[in-house]
Amino acid sequence: MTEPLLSIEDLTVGFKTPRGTVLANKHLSLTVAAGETLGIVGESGSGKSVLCRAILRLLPSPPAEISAKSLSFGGRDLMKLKPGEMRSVRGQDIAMVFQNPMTSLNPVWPIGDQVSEGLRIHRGLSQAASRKAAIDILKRVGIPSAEVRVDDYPYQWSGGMMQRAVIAMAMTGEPKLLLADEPTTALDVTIQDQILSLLMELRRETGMAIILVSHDMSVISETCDRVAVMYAGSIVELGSSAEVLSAPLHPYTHGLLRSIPHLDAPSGRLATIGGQPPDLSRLDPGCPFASRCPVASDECRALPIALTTLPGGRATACHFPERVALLDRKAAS
Amino acid sequence: MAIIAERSAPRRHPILQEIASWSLSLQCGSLIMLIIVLAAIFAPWIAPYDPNEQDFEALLMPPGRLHLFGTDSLGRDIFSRVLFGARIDLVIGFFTTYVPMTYGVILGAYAGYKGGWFDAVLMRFIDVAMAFPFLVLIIVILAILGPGVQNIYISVFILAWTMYARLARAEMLVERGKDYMTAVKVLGFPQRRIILRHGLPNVINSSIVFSASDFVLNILLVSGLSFLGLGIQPPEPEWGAMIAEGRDFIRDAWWIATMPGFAILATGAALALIGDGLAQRLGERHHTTV
Amino acid sequence: MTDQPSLIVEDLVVEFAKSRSLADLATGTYPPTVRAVDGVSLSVRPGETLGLVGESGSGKSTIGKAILGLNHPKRGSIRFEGKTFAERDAHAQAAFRRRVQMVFQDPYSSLNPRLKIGSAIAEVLRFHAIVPETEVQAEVLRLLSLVGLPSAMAERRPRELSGGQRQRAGLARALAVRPSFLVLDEPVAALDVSIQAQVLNLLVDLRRELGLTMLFVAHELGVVRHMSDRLAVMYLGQIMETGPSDAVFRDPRHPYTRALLSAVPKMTTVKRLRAAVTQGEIPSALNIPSGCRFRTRCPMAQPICETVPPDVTVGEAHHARCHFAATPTNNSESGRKR
Repeated sequence: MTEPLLSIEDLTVGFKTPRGTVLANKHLSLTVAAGETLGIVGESGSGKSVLCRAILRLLPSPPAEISAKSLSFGGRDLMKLKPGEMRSVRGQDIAMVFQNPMTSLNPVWPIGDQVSEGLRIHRGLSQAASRKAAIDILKRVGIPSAEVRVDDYPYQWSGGMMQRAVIAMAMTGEPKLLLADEPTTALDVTIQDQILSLLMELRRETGMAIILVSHDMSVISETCDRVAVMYAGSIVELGSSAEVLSAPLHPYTHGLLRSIPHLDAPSGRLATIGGQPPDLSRLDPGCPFASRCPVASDECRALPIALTTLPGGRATACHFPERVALLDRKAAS
Repeated sequence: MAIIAERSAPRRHPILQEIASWSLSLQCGSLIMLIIVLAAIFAPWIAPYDPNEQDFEALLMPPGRLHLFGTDSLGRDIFSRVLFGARIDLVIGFFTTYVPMTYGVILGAYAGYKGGWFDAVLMRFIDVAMAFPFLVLIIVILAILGPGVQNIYISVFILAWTMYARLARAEMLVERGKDYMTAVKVLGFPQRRIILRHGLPNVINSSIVFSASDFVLNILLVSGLSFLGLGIQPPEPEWGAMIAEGRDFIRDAWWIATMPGFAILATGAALALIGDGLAQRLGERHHTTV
Repeated sequence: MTDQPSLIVEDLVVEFAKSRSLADLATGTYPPTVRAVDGVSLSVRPGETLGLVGESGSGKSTIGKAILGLNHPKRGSIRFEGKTFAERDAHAQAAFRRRVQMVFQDPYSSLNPRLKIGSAIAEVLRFHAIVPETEVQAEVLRLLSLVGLPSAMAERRPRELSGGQRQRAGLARALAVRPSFLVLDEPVAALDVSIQAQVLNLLVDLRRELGLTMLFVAHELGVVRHMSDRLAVMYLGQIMETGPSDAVFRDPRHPYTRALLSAVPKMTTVKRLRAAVTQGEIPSALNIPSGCRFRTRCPMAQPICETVPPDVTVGEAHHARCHFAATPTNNSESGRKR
């Protein structure tokens, strides 16, 4: 098997707070192959955004405490890089797109300058060449009349256009991996559609891998080859998106899927996951989902559980994944 | 109806817990201020001598066993005078700060909420008032009305509210767009209730923080005016007046001016710490406890 | 329950304009006005839920606010139970405020941070004298339990509550006056999926128990479908299509509705290979296209679309404002494209 592009082994990210250390990511392991799209789905507090920032070493070190057995990208261990070396990875090998395009762009610089800055730094182009290349990239991401609009300021653009500009900036370094943290959550439905298509096109053209973080399962199902479901800082399920979404092996995934109102589903009560998201500073020893799990038993509450790979390639962090199938029968009865 | 399980937070001794959560600045500042206030309240019992009692046998005594802070040119005990001076300065500081703050924030809250001509007129008035140097205006008013505490109050009450109005208005401009303000409008509450009961408590944070500095500045104002002879008249033991009296003796009997000076310093430092600590503490209020 | 609609909106126009700057006064010009709502008519029958769906700039939130008297329409009328707000005397206006209430989108700004939840609700009860003073506390607890909050919440301040709990508290406050009509402005948009489901179930239960009529404004089609009997799809200030939810979803007759339905990501096992359903940005409200306002992004646009499209009746209480509305949906078009 070819070497994965990104390989994370046993990543733990903790934040020191007055109430103790909160573990936002607990012993996470996952891999991303070159050219693959991996989706990460979870709700607030699941740790999905922290994971992206941890990969790019964007978390300042107090209050964050990061440890990992290895965090390797393209063969290099990112944990062992010096700050200067890490800086060359950022933007060039790994790029990131954030949720809110309005705060991702500098409001007092013209958009063209923000894009061409990346070109000058990552590709060493001259002022004139980078301006031309910026116009080309903006055209590529779908900005109409890019030659004219290259000098616009962010406030003159809509959310969708700004997000395209952010994607353009991310592409200037020709990254091999793009981290997209809820890139369409703040956008209208039809614009979200355009941005997702754009990301998929860019991926086909450049062969880059994408980690797409979202709370929206449908977005992930349409765009990602594999999906990791996160809860309370751990990955609770991992597998191909087709399999995970049609036959989940973790009660949380199941609950999440059932609680979404679908366009073609009949109205009626939505299945809900009882209870509240957990308080990360006060987690019980066993499975973090046990207190809300409809099929939990005593072992679940007492015994810790890690993501275990099952024969067949899927992985789940559930003591009794076979019980998930029961949930459908329970609901139907 | 399904009831959601909730995370309970244990709550004991709410006041003690609150104080324990304060930053070091706030705790120290409050402690110092508490000592000063208690000293002022209990001055008649703590002071070893009557502040106006003159003892010609003990003129210009340096600090020592009998007179903790020494005596001045009339044999009056400086320590007792400083204690009694605290009563004067703290009271004046309090009223010159919090009385204008009260109507200042109300005017600012109204202006911020209503906008329109009321806001425009008020803001122009404030702009004009703040364009003049505060001290000069006060001195002019005192020159017209004559020196003395009452006139200081009058002149400060005329001018000092403007800063609070500005601060409250600025906060109200943000607050009025928030959904809870819309909600109470939709619930049919009259405008006065919306502004005063719902808006006002949420727009005074910056004014509270500012009042800590204002308190100090007002004490300095009164001390300065008394120093110039326009404020508290002798023989009242106001700190600034005492510094004025000690001016001529600064080389030989440094304690006469310096001790009240330390008192002002301590009060100012305490208030500065409180102001800092409050700014932090009030800022925390708006975030979730996660 | 009568068949007379609770709410009738007729030809509503709401505009927003910036106030004139000094430069404007000097040159005698007026800043451009934005027509957030441009001739909207709709009605809601008692007990019914009308879903109002649209993207940014559609005007859906503005309509909700207009119904509550929070903005000043330029033209048109809003009649609740037969009368407009202006036609009511002071007494009737106060009564209106008890009949129509609003639930807000942002759980983090919809509650007064300084008030305990119980105090906020009690204030409403007292102001409107919903119950005698002796029963206020009991009524507060009853309302909290109605929305699924434990009674301990009465003593908590908003910052101690999660997003879902805050939404429930806001709902309790709105229900304190015992309204018959609720305008819900994106009530679950800011909540996590699993909490969203809880709150939606709560709304469905309350609607049944209290006989509420609702105007449900949202941008998420799945949520709106779940909650609404009827649906109105808005674009740039006008209603493009309206009809029973099932009919609109199964047989969308307006290209914009079809575009929305196609654009929504769906749970699928096949990866997305398609191009985006629409091209281009949503036009700015300052620059609304003439004729049919959707024509600049419409895959079916023809020269005739530069003229104002007629409102075509395409089914039982189902209308679409399009020159081509008479064409039924081809199933392969309605959003199952791969």
